[in-house]
Amino acid sequence: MRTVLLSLSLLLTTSSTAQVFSTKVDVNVKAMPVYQLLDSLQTTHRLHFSYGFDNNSGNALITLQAKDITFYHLIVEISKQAHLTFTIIGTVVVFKGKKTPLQNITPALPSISSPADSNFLIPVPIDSISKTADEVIMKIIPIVRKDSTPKVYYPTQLTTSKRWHPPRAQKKSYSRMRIGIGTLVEKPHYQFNDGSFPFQYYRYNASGGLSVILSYRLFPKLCVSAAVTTASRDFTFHHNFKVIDPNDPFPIPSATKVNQHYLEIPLLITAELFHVNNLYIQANAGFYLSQLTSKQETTSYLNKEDVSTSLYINNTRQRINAVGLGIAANYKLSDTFTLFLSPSVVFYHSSINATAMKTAAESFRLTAGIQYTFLKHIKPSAP
Amino acid sequence: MKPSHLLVLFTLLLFATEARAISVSISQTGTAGNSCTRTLTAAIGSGSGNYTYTWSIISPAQSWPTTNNVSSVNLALSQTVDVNVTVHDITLNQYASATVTVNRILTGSFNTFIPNLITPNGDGYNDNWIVTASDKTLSPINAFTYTLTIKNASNVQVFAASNTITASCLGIIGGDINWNARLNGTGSIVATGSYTYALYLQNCSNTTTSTGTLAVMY
Repeated sequence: MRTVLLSLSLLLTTSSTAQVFSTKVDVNVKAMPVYQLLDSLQTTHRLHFSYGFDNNSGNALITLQAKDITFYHLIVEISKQAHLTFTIIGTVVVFKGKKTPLQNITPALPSISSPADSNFLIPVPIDSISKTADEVIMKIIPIVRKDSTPKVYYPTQLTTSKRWHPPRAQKKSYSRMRIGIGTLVEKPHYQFNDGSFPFQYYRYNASGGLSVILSYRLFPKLCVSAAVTTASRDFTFHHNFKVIDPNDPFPIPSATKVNQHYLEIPLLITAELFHVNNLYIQANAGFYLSQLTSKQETTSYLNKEDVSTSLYINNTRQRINAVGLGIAANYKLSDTFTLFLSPSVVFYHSSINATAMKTAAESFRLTAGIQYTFLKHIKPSAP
Repeated sequence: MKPSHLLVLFTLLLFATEARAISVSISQTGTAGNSCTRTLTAAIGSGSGNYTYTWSIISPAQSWPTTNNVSSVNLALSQTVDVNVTVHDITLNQYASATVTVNRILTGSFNTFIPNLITPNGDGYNDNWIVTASDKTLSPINAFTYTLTIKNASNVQVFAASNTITASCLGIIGGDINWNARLNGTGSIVATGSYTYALYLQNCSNTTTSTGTLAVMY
């Protein structure tokens, strides 16, 4: 079993880019994949790594133990062990596999003999990089010894007729598509009719369902989603008869239970309102289309066995249209997994059962679940 | 005086002493169901007239709730008890006692089960509308007066009855309030449908009118 240990401690923190690369760190890693090491560095320091290398390079194992090593030399050492080249653009370090001459643009730098011999590189802004052949790609990059006056090094010049494009930093490594699964509980507010007698009443039954949600991010803060949800719209009519002798041969009904199951397809637009750390608050709205999938009605009696009846289910609506509004709280567990909790209110266009209900109803529902963001396949940056 | 005369005199004195032995009994009034006070009076025989009275509740044991050392007491108890009185003739230094059962007065909440469905089809089940005790038995419902009116869906009275129970200390018992589903109790069986009832009940501490709907189906 591989033992991986990474301990990084910041000794200096300054605001300038140059000072970021001169920051000294302690490193102790054993056989850690290079992409994993870069991820760790990226999350603990204000640097961004773009690595479009193939799997072989990405899985290269890094073993490194050093104290008081500058960030820059750490990057150099990683490049050596993983057989990579790198380019620094602002605070972005772009890694590439050693495949083409175009990618081999590592600036000329002194090798690391010891941590005490650490220099750092002041990167040049991206707009200062020439983009045509026969020009100096990297302008003069001064390498400054930390305890001395700056010295000037001349980096590699590329003499090629091809136009060179600086690699773009990959800020997002996942796709726009998400899939989620959740459960919902619903508290409907049906407008029931009166019973035949005042002591009789209707009650909705607690309902719930399962939901599979597919969402697509149109813009950074706007996405559309479609879901397939199983939902029940059940209710019970309580006859509520009270008699002296329940052994009466005359059938005395006790309760009629009506089960109506629907397949619901919510089509929603979701907009991000704000986020705090990993918690994203969104608002959503859209249409809910429901199709009846099954219905059943059973009447129980005080003095005989239950009987299947059809007093209500003959007037159960096959299709129900509704609109809904809601908010959602998403908590990002990782780049790929997100927990969500979404309370919403749904307004039905018509009554669900014409016999039992007067008018359209609304329901309050709470959906909770987890979403998975598909990883995007990253291709190496093309020149 | 001859000895024989002394013997006769002694015998007469013994007879006179035995004739002065006291006795006590308890008379009770206010025992009707609609009475809210039970009155107990100690009746003493062959005493000197100089007495003390000690009243007590012996079953179930509890402290005496009212004035003691009097010949007559008024009780309004919510449970049936056995009351004892002990009389002490101070002059003769003799004691006598008696015990009587005192029924509870009808007080507190009513104890009713009021059905909301009758099926007057003559099958012997639920043919009559009967108000019972809450456990559906013919036990006292804790009331001594009732007034009942039943109206149809058009608000026309189809039945009325009332009564106050005085003979029994138990008051109204389950089954005393009933309707046979016939118009005014003697006519034809009423039509199926919804009827409303208003039932007034009274006891020593409460009066209430229960209203509700009665379904007639057959």
